[in-house]
Amino acid sequence: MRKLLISSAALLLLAACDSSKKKCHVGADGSVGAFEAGSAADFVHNAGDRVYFDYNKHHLSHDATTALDRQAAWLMNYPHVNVTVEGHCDERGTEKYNMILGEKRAKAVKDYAAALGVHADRLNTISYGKSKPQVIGNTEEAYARNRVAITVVH
Amino acid sequence: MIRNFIKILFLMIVTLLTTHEGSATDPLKLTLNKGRFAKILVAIHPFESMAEPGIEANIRKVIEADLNNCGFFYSVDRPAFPETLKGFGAQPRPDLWKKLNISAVLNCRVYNKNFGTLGIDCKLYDLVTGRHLSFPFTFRPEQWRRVAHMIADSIYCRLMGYPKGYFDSKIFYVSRSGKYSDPNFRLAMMDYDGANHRFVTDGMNMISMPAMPNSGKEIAFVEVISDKKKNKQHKIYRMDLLTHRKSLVGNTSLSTYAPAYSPDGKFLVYSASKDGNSSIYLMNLETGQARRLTNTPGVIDTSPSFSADQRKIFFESDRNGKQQIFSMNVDGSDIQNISYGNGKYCNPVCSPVSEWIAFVKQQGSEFSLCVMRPDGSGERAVALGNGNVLDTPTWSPNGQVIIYTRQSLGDKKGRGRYSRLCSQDVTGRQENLYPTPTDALDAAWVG
Repeated sequence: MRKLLISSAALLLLAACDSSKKKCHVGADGSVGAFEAGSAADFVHNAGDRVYFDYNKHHLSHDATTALDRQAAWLMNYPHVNVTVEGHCDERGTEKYNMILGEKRAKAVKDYAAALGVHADRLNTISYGKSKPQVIGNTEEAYARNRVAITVVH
Repeated sequence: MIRNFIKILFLMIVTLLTTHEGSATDPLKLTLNKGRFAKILVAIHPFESMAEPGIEANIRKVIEADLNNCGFFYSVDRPAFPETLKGFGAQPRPDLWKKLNISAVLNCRVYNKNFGTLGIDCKLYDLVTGRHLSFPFTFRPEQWRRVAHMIADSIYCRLMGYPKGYFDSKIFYVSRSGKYSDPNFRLAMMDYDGANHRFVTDGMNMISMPAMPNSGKEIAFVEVISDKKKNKQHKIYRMDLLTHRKSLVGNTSLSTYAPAYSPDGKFLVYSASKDGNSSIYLMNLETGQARRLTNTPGVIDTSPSFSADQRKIFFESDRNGKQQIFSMNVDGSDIQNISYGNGKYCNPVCSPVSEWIAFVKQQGSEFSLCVMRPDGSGERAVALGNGNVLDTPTWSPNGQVIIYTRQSLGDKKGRGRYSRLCSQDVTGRQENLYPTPTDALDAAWVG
């Protein structure tokens, strides 16, 4: 039922766009972006590419699932697009443990998107542990932005 | 005798200072007090040389640096020498040197040998015991640094009473450069003192977690590889250091991490995982057969390490909720928790020569580098994070020094961030930072 709802929502949004599909895409938030439909830039700007996690956790928060609903809707609109979900951790931990924690985060995103109907074969995962921080800074805000799963369009 | 007594006294002081878990104040802050330790004074006499000029002074400088850097010695400068020895055959007068508390005098001569090689004869006068040591080396001119390290190792072993030194050794590590969010990771190598630095891999693919067998002939590391569909995975590779030929370890669909060799070099223990389910595996490198040693669904078992006697494997697991250190037999039986204290116990690495296990401890946001016995007793901190993240310890080939990664996250905006290798004497007395050309992490030490 939920799957159906999201698909219909995505279809409605698409219908709002005119025929020049290449240039125009309406994002899940209703904004119109000037990105090639189905491109990596389109995904980042109109679906959002990342979800955040609590310290040492890999469970999806309410905010995370809301964000993933948009990602999944976008992915179902472009069934030819494959993605890699990258799991990341903040830097206040040890490398070997964080590598596996990042795997768990990527897996959580993959499972949720698959449950919404995105074919699991389209969702590759990899962990970068703490080796590729997205932002730097010795603050709680910076740590929080590094505890992230980023969906990257191939 | 007196020297041994002093050594034991040092160890006792350090142990007293750093035994924690349950002391009244924060005992981790008490570890380092370098001024407390008296150093053994040695004199490296100018060498007689009949070879190309300069080489004898270079060798002498490296020997002095090795001895000074290890924390146990002070190399007395030449102006303070009580006498100048007249040639290689002349013996120092013990009373003159002992008056200045100088325990040992090294005198050498360098000369040309056949086929472009050089010879160096060394005499170490141990003025405390009166037992002198003579040793020669033959070397090619470009090997002068290595010979200097070998001479320094001989002095260190004789005066400290250890069977093996560590100056003649190499450090492999992961060099990180470029943008922080998408860095370039290259395998690099250098002598123990940072000299002869060079890059081993090109940085095309991300690499991490290097490990080496005691033979030093090959290296294992984790590399990110992509298939035709752009799907990426972490996989352990072994690389022959002579030919640079690389081979994939295992034919599993799992991601593989955290390789560590057995002391005899015939086995590789590592973790393999899928979707955050991580278990310890053991591979026979001769047959290529892998065997799964742990199997608890949903947990993170990683960072395995063989004991020096090859009878146990230690690893990290969060099976009880937080990261702790466990021991097991090499067939996976008899898994036991050996970490009882507060905080997280991470990344156990067994000493190659003794029963000590080095590990990283995390209490809240504070990290420390610690050691303990295989039964979890004798835990003490040897280096403190003081706000930095500590990670990935590795032992010197003689089990006396640990190199680890020290990572500073910088200020609020990340200014001043760095990641460096630090070496730390296990008694907690001497800490050195490697001035590598890039950020450095994940050392493997072999010699």
